[in-house]
Amino acid sequence: MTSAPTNPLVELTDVVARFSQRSLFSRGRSIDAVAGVSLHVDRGEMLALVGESGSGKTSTGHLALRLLDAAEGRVCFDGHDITTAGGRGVRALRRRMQLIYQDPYESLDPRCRVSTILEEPLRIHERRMSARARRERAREALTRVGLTPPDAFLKRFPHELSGGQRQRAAIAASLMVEPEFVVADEPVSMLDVSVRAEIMALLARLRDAGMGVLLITHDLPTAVKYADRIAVMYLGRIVEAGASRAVVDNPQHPYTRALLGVIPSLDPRKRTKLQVLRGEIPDPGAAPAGCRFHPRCPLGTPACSQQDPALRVVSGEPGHEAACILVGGGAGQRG
Amino acid sequence: MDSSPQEASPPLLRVRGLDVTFVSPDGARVHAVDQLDLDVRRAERFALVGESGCGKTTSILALMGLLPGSAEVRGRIELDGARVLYGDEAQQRKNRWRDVAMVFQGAMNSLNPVQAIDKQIAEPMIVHGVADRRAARRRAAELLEMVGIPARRAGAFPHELSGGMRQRTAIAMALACNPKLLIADEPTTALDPMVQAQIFEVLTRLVDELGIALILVTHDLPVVMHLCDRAAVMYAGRMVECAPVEQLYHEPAHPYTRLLIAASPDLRTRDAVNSIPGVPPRLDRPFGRCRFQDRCDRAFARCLEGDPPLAAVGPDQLAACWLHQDQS
Repeated sequence: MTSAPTNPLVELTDVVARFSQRSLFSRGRSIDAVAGVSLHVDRGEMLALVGESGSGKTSTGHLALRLLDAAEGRVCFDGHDITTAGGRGVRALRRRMQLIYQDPYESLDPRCRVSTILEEPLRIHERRMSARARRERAREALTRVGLTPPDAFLKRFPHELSGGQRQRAAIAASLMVEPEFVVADEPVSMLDVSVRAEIMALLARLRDAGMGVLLITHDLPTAVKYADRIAVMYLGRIVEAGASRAVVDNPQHPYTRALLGVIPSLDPRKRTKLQVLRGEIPDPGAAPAGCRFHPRCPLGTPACSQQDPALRVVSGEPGHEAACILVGGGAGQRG
Repeated sequence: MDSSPQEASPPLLRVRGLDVTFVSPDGARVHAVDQLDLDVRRAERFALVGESGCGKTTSILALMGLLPGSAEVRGRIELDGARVLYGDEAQQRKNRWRDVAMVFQGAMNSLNPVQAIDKQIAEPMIVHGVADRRAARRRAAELLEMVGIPARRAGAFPHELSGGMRQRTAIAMALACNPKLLIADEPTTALDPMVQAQIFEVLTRLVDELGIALILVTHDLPVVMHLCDRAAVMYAGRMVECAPVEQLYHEPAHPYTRLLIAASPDLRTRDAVNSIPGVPPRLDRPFGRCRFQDRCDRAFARCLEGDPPLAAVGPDQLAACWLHQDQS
């Protein structure tokens, strides 16, 4: 994603998330769950990060929020380098960026009323705010997520809410500090189909109001319907990125094509055999040499095990990039 | 479902008036499944679709006789023409794993962690007297091969396998005793789309090869449309529609079916996705009206007057909706 505008809200440059695996029997080795990712999210934009489990999507989201420290690379927020911001700096950032969790059944304290859950972040971040102002802010947040009338919901406990209402309450809680950037990690995968669209529409409205949204999901159909751009991850790397429709209608990387090939059509008359990729995503500690996808790639050539391709522009569509030596002509290697 | 086309042979599974009520210690009664009639034909792929709390899993557990004592279960279940009874525990238990097998949600996490997978697959065959120890082990290796786990991994322990491979092991185990019917309850819920596609590929190939009927219990409409022949849609404890999937997709009779389709994103269209406003009703009080009426975009006066019965609306299509019933 080289086509960054002059001032993106969030910008990751070649970030690496490194975990050390240590056990009783070995001194441990380090594993790069995110192995050099660059991306940016602008104000008023939703970027979807898609890929299989184990591709490093969630770790990338955590790097952007500084919930994880980058072992290498740079994390910028609103033009400031926050890669090494500590203590007070991080605390100030927490008010401007928030995480929305996957499971609204676990992310809300079952012993607290909605009012307490919503007002808690303000007690931490806005210590001088009056109880009355906090309550007013809670009412506003509930109204914004469509839990109206707000007073009917303030007194309730999480178990008195349906799944969709819970996720809306969780989103309301993250809106309390008026963040400019949210990372939504599989925000609808635990919810019923009939309420997913309303939660996604809510995130789209926040985006339209100027918020930057990083949507983490393995659900490509949902990503296409709501996100402005899609970045496809495989084994710690972005392998393709671009405008959502460009990536889905004109996929360039064989892995993107593989992901699209297993999504069934809703119309039974348009049934096609799903193109199942052989094998499973390897352990990031055992990433193959060359292109990380080549052992599973249906198009793999001997050169693919030698060269580690870099992202480069692959179609007429501005910002549409893929990391594959077989597409777009010419070889570009990672530095 | 007596109005479905007359078949030469009776259905493999025939359920009439299945009714499940949970009674809590304080006396509250939750009517989880309301008079379910269901026919599953031989070797067909049938889906039971609906959202959480609609009664799809409860219905299946009732069929299998696996509900707790606090559940009041009524109804008639016939498998292959023979009645499977409550109060006839011995018969029930004998049929349970011989003729009907089940892959549970999260089955991949229910394997015995300290036993090799081929042994675990052999065990039900030995217990049910289908095969002796040696033949059972051989059959286990064969089944693993069929689900795509090579013979050299047959002696592996569950922790040595990925989630997808453990789920395949669970499928191999379910097929061990040559069932006539395989019930899979959300078999891919915790798996991502690539592994999900692999599992479904294995599942459908096996049921077709072995001539087994499949009941897929799921909330995932695209999967149903892609894999199944017929589907029943459940809402708030009742079957509201049942038809071949082409019919369901192109000419849904019940507004809930239509709205559920409109709520599922389709990669191949640019159609907007719409949620269904409102929440499902509580099941602890009688209805006296259509249970979907308050969320329905086509509701009219009659919907408040009574709960519509399930009736034929086409040659092989049933729906419980007043829009399709004569004003008699």
